[in-house]
Amino acid sequence: MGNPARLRASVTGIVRYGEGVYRVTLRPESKVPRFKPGQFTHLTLDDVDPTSGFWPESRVFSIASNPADPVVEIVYSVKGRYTSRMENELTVGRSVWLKLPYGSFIIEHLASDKPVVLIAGGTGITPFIGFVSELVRHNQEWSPRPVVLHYGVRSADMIIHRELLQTASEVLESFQWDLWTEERSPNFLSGGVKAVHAGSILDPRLIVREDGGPETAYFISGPPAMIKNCRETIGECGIGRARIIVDEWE
Amino acid sequence: MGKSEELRARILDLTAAYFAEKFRPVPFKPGQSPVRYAGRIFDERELQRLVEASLDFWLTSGRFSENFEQEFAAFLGAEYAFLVNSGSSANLVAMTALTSPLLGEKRLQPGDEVLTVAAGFPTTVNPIIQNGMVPVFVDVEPRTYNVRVDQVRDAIGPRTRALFIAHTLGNPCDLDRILEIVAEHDLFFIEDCCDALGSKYHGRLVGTFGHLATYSFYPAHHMTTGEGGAVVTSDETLARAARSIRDWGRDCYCAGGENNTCGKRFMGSYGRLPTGYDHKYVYSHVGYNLKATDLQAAIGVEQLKKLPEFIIRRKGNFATWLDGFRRWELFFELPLPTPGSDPAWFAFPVTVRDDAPFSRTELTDFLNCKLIETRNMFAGNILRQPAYSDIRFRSASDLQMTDRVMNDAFFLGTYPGLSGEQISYVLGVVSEFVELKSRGSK
Repeated sequence: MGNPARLRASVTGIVRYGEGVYRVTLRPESKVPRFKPGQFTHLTLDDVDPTSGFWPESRVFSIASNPADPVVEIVYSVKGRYTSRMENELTVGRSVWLKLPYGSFIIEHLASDKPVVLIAGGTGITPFIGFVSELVRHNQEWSPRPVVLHYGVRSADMIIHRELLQTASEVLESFQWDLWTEERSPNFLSGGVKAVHAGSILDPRLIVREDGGPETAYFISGPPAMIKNCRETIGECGIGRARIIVDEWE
Repeated sequence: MGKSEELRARILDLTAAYFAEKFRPVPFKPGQSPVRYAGRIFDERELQRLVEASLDFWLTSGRFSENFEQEFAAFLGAEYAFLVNSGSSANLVAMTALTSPLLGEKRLQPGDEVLTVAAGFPTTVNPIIQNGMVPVFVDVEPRTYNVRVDQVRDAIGPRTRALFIAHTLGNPCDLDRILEIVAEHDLFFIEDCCDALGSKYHGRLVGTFGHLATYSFYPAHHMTTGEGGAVVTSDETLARAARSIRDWGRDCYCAGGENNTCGKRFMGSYGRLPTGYDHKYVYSHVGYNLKATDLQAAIGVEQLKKLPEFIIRRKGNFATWLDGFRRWELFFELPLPTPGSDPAWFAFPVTVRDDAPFSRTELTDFLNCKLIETRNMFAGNILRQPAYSDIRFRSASDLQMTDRVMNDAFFLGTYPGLSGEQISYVLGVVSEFVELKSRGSK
């Protein structure tokens, strides 16, 4: 990954999705280091003494913003002690420290003609947000690349960056997305979505059958159980390991 | 401001005062003061930054290294820069990165060939040998001292996989033609820019054309960190490999004092290790520890700010030498920038003509007696060096020009600390010598 940097940032916005899911916008005091969509940042709530060399306890979050933005966005879900702390302590104006970029969950050669299928579960959408926004940003220069996003959520009101996904499906010739929601009757307006799989969780076998091709690469991001299921099932469909790329955390 | 911060500020102020006292400029006395070919150029800020880093007492790479790597990559317009402890280490890391398992079938294997030159610095060649590969030596051109591109194509064999060449003394190679060959034969290309930081080719900085580039920050070079160097690349896979090879070969990329940077420290499966083996101790490359310390990086942070000015002054000094030596073109082959290039000259190279009434060594001896430093072209013909008498290699030609460089070429410095007065003095001494020898030959 690129040369990471440590920087102090202020919270400038918080969007609450419900069920303990938040999107946080952070404005660093210095320039956002170059990063690639799919990479992640560390965030610590504690102060950092740059002269000490030590880094306090922190957690990792996929960067949900575009590399051209002057801010860094993350999405997190309250799952444990630290994210509970974040829920309690993060308010607009609060200072945090970031350390980025890290990670190799990168869709190589964004401007490519190789098809990709993105499979996102819940907050697992975040590493794909920067990628999709880059495709939109470079729409006029880059040749269309076949991208299919399968996005699974518990309910339609948990869709993160719905506007971006709608824009992408409107302006990008070869971008489409399917929504998978556990709700049987989702209250959901089109949003440019190709298909809504209501009352369903992500079905990797169906995904491969409908959207897979001989060169398709599958990028999977989401909860551990979902990743495991998707990876194993897609492998059982005869897709080689080199074409199944996952983004997983402790 | 806390007490320690207050003390820190006072110490840094005192450091500036110490600098003003200790490092006063010393007037040049022709014939009594040495004229160096290279040297460190710094002011109180480098000293302050160094002291600041020492007050952190962070004993490995840290905040200054991080800062330097970011700024250096940005200066070049590259994605990644990795600070290492020397230009030679940078070359070792770059060459070894091409053997990384991350490259799959494209990785270089022992016995593969790497094209290079014999008229250069040994640590451009050594990593080729140390990785079990076969150097294939190509001759150099007169006046540019760069690789003969016409020989490169002919030198390619069935096992040739890479090109590892320097931009000699800051003069960029003919990159248009080289890149054509690289693309045609699907070669890896490492640019050794240890003497060429700031040189441009068609308006673009060298080091951004190949798969990897290396730089040296040894005090003789364009900027210094004391000992130090850097590996630069914009290739994600090569960056991962380079970082790992620099850092003991480990898969982990935690900086010193950090843990679980990857976020999955105890959940991976690697090799035949038990699942969940601590990622901090997983080794995916046969690597080394070639990191630089924050003390070095701190100097580099300040030097980088001065680099544009250093480059301008080097170019100016080169122009002054060239002007001065034109009157002796009868005796010397003068350097020629590669067409399309704008070199940030490391030095002013000159070759004594065959029919000159003196030899290179006679001249450099004479200059040396007058306290004027010169240098031969590094290893000359490296194949004639004792260390290389038994290496496995292939030669693409009889290396005639390489031998000429070894026998007849030398260089004078262009470093920013060289003044117009010093250059005038040297030209006066050369004039004295040439006149003496010319009279003697009549």
